[in-house]
Amino acid sequence: MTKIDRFYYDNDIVRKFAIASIVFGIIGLLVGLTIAFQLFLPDWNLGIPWMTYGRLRPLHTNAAIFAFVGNAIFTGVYYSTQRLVKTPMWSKKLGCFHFWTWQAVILAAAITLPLGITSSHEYAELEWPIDLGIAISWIAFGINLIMTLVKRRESHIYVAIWFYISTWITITMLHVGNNLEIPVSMMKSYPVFAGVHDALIQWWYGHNAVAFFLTTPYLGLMYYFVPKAANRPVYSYKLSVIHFWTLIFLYIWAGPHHLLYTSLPDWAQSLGTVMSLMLIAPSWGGMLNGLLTLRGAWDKVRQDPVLKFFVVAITAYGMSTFEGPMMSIKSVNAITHYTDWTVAHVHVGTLGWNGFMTFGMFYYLFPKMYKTKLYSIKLAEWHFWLGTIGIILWVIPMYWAGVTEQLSWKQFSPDGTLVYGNFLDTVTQVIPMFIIRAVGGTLYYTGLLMAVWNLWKTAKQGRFVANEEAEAPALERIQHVNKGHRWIESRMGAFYFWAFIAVFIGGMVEIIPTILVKSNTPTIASVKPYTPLELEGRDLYIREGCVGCHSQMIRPFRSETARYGQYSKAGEFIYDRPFLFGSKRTGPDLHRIGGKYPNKWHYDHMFDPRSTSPGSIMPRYPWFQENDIDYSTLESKINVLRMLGTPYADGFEKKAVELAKKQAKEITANLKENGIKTPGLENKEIIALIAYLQRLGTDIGKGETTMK
Amino acid sequence: MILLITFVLFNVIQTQMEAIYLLIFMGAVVAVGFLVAFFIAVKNGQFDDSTTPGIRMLFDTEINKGKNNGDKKK
Repeated sequence: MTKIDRFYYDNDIVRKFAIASIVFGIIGLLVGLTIAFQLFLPDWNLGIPWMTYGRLRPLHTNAAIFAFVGNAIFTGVYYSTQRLVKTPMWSKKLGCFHFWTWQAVILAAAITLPLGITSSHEYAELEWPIDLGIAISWIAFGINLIMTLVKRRESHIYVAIWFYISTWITITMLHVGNNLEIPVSMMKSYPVFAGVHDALIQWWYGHNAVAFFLTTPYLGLMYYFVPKAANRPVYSYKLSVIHFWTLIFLYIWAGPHHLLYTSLPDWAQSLGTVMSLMLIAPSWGGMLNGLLTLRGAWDKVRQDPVLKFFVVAITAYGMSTFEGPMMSIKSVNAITHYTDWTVAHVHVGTLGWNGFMTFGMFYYLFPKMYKTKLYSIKLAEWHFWLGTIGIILWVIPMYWAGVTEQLSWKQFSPDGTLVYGNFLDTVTQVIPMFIIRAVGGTLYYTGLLMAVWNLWKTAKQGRFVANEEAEAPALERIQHVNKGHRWIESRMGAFYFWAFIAVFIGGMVEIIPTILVKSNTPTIASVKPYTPLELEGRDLYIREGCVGCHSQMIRPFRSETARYGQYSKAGEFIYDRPFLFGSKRTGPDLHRIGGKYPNKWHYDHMFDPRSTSPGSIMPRYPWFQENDIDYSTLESKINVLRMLGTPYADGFEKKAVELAKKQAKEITANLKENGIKTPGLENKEIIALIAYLQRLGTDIGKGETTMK
Repeated sequence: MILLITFVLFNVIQTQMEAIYLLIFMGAVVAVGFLVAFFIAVKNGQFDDSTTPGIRMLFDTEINKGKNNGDKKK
């Protein structure tokens, strides 16, 4: 006699996350729109430091990924998991804890990122105290998820949940791996790894964040919400299982495709390329499975905006997962890297796949949870079309811009000189594309606002069911048949814990020797650590987010060596904590900017870029001349860097401030000779920044180990 | 064995790329972990039936899911 259990699904936690997602969607995408406009209206920061592009870009990426998409993931996971395993979430308290700690992290991000408190690791910019907060929140989520599975009433674990599990495990590992840092102060840390090392860790993380935060959870959501919305089973359940396992095996290895033609060893680059190409198969397995689920249901797509959003989302997923592997081929990457093509690629995925799946899911969920119909199907359709046209107007100009940029950078005239010797000429050409992109973004955003209105009205006209009554047979635990099941179910928590410990121990065995063993000889003898003043300048560069527009990695192409100087060698970066290779050249590469321009040029350029470079879209940085250099953490910085392997002499930290001030006086004296006589200038931040910029790339010219 | 070799190498050579040993190792551990999980799942019959799950998830277990009975305007 099978017992029928009665229980309640928790919709309250689902609604909490949904509202958070929508609120942060409004904010995060508005920041995105703002920086899109700033790229052709550089003074659209009102002269305020925390509104500059360099500081707002990470705010946009973090808000879009962790606040908008992140909260949407939790919405969908909490809703679908309960129903797929026919069991309420294991702990309401833990769910609430997860919710509030996650929003606290977002709030911390919203405050610290515009203040320039950043580690500069893309999509992991948040400094170490917040990293700890993320870990706490994520672990609460994991425990709740795992224990719900342990208590489940459905013995088969549906494929969507496999995607959620893989997400949880891998993101845990990635978060730890890319946030290995030693604190200098409450709000500043240096990464354990340096230079090329650090770059590899960052892009191992970066690509897998795409894989296991932007892809796998959403594939899981697709496998729940698309069949439910269409009321048709997944096209091939077998295929879903096969492509899941293939996907999670291959994705981890794709990271090096972010570092093609850099100082990463060739074999690692090739490995990344091969794995990225192989990824087309499981990715398209997912796309085809999702689209073919609608076989025989296309008439529903015509009538239902939810399904329309899903169709475009899945198609966009297919586009991105074809384009990505193509861009992982070195010859293609030579054209796309550092350009707006990469940015376009990102936004096909985020606007199309993540955005539209999220909208479809919310349009499905709100009527269900409020026991009513969607307030206006017409408005949802308007949203759909505005959003779709918005995506098109966003990405096509950016593809155009990307190709234009790279080909301009590479163009030689018959006499062997660069046609566009002035980098600025390559930028002004693409400003019209920036404008069209901003129009596209505005349309997309307008669609979002329509959704907010529609969902709000839907909620108002309905009655929210916080706890939805349900019934299902209890899972029979027959000893001799399900022995295997019982073993896993009762030990799932332990299984995850020990698996994680194994990974962690393995990681520590590798990391600790690396930290403790000091460098014997630098790869290039003439490369020396940064002076204290240069270190402060470098940290100012990081604070302002200069890495968002300027790269520091000259590739071994004739067009780059002709424009910038010798291509960048791995050994030059051994003291760079964090690395600052950059991903985008909105402005020129700066790796060999040292000594190219006089101090006065930098002084004027930072105050108003258009005074030295008419037509430049770089924002102004007048506060560098107003702010005093903050030396309070300099001693701590030297100590931490020495511990991590930079060969500062013992006791050097005690002399650091004095040495910095001495170097500052020299630079100030030089500026005075050239007409800049501001009193007290030697204490100002601009001096530190100039010291850093003038150092960049100059080491290899000094010794006998230059490579031609 | 692999750990021993890498440990020795760490102490002798520093080429900037040591992180890759860590990453390959962690990637391998994760991959093996998933492989083990896969075999356990097969053994526990997770994949014996690849037809029913796709259809079963379409059925709602909610009681009293009368459509639109939350509508305030009636």
